[in-house]
Amino acid sequence: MTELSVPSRELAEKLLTRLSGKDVVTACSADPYSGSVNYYIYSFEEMASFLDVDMDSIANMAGTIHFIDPEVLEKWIRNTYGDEELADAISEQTDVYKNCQDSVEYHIKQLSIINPVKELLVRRLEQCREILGKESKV
Amino acid sequence: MYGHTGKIARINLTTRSIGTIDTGDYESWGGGHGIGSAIFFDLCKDKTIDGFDPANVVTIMSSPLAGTLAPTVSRTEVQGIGVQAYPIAWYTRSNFGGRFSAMLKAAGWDGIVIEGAASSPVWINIVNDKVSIEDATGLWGMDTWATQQEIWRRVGGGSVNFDDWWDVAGSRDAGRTTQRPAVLANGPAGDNLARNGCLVHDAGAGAGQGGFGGVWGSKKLKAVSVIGTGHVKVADPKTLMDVRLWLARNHYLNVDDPVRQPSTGGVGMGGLAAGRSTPSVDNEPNRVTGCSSCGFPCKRRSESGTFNDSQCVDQNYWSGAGLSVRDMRKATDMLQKAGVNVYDVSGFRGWMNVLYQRGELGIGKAIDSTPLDFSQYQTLSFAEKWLDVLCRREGIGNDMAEGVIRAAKKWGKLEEALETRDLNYPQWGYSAHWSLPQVEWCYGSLMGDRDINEHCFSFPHWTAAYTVGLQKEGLTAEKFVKQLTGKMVPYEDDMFMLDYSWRNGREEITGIYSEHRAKMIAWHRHHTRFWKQSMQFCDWAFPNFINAQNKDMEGWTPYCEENTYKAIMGKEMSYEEGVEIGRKIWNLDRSIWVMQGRHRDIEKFAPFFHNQFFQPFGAVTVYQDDKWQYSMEPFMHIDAAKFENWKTKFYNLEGWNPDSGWPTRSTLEDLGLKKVADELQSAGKLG
Ligand code: SF4
Repeated sequence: MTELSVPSRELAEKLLTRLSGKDVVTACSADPYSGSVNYYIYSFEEMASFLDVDMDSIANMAGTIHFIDPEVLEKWIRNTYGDEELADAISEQTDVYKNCQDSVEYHIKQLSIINPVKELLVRRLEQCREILGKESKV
Repeated sequence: MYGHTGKIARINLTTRSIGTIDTGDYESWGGGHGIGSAIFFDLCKDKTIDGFDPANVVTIMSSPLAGTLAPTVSRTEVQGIGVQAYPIAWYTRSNFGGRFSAMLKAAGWDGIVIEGAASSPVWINIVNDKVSIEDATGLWGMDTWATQQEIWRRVGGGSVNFDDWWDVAGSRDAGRTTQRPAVLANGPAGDNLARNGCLVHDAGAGAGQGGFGGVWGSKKLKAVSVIGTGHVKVADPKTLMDVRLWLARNHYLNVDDPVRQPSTGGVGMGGLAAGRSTPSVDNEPNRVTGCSSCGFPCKRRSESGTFNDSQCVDQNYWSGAGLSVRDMRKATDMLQKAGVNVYDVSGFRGWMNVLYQRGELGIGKAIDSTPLDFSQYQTLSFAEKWLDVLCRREGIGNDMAEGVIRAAKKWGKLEEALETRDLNYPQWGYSAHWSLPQVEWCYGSLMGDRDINEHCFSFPHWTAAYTVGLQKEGLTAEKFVKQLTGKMVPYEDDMFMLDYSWRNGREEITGIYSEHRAKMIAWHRHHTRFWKQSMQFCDWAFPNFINAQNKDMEGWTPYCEENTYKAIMGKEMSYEEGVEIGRKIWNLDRSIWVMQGRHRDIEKFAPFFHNQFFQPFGAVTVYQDDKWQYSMEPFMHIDAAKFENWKTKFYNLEGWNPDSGWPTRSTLEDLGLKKVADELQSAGKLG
């Protein structure tokens, strides 16, 4: 996992602020049985908790996956929170599929980076909580 | 008579009379849904009534194959005029698994027909041949689990513990069993006429869609209990056993090692993911379980009893809202006990939270949420309270019990929400499912009455695309399409039926607005009306178009369906003949909807469906650059004008008037439905 440097107190506070209006972002869940469901995500914490894509569960038709287009996530983090380092780290992950020509392969590789991206978010959240002295809930 | 028991219980709650209908009079309709629709047509004289009207007729139908060793067919079909759909609450259907259907057959009944409405709460008690209407005063308002437990107690005379043999009618000669009664129960939501009220059997089997909980509430019907000690006559038990053993050897779950590797897993068959659609939490001990005689048990029971018999979709009640998986599952149990339809309310509570976040809904806000304090949204106690106010119609709960679409309408938000996709409900007030890019899903739902909830094509597409092993094993897109369409009689070998091209220039030639797609939708509607809803082969496991465990990936459809039918019924029924009976049933249903107000002009999707939106999951097959390929189509949406042209193609194929979408006399008479044509003509609605 890419090492993230310790964020400033100001950034940590921003990352833990609940959002409203235009800053809310849409993510979605899916499983082979009940289809795809959209969710509005109102905070960085919620995003870190929400994302989860178990590749085995996809192949086995078991369980639900929680997904966001990594590029949408990257932009959300860059533009809403101004966390350039985290956004860059996510962008780096997307390199594995950016040049895929086959749309299914592209999609599967896209799914495969969600959990590594989640780890980045969780790590950032822990850093924020350490700085602000709160307990991690994720 | 083989398969069928020969009689259907006819119960009038207004007059408290109990009679029988001879199944033989309706045998040409196959069973299940087909017979249910035919009986409804005959007994419900005014099809334009509201679902809450006492004259509404509700049928609860088994399958002629149920109660035997036939795999997955012990399911029950519930039908009648619903209260959920919008703007017209269509004649509709819902289906549930469990033990009810097999028990009904064991008691000697092919189905139950409910007419009228009681003046005070009642429940129906069926013990073999004996049918009685019992007082349910003390049960009214009780949750679905407590209701079932209390009815078990009453049927057992208060002394039976159901762990051993017991005499069901007081004497050994009257029949003995080790089973407890199979009870279909209404919850407090339905008792209070909630349009999202549903019927629940055992811990988690439910007839969810349609609002039959509310319909039963209007009939003051709390539950139907059945216990039987008989059996179903099977024409050729040996062949049935052979089919069963063949499936068991090649495809059943190994309960001692319920793990399946992706590259060898069944394709197009969620059931084989046995119990895995709901993995256990924190490694809690659990075991798989399933409906009577299934063979592909897809549910589980846990040591703590949490989430027993429920499935993935049920967990959506409070998912994505900050609860742990364990708490989400506790919330699901609350939902099952309340008897509330997860499909209506999971999107509903999420949208209410969106309105809260925007400051439009809350205590004292423009949409006053009293007594619900949405600041507590991410807690289990709030999920419980949410249900409680709905069930009691307290404060905002009065709107919630009307269902999401009617509440949105009342709050002045419906048009906006269907424009923006804040409410992802593309047709008739039913939530989206695999609606896109699996267009057979949304087209079929719009041409019908509800979210079709049929995974015939979405399962194989999902597996073929996501299970990389299969692609390695040579399941090319072309082979995939050839194998599926090869089984779609009578349109077999028209491979373009599975061309999901939507914007590459082929969309009106071979793609989703083409005549090929019209054939595919027609096949799907006809096929499921017979094989899935009348014979009741479970949607999780049938049809099995392709299967990675078989040579050449050959699926067991139609081998399994045709041979099971023949073994039980003692006569041939080809897959194609079944599809043709399905066409007759579909046309009867269509005629009922026409009487209710269906017209081409209202068969339109919600506005958001015509705008581009992101729907990332679900690969489909497309024909492009002279070759077949799997493709992700995350931005697929429906072009309104092209879809209108497609409707004309579809109506023409079905033999319906393209101006109105109403069946013509010649179409109906060719199907032997002259009396239906006459009734449509009397109503001035013959196409
Ligand atoms: S696959 Fe699951 S839902 Fe279907 S009949 Fe079997 S146990 Fe019941």
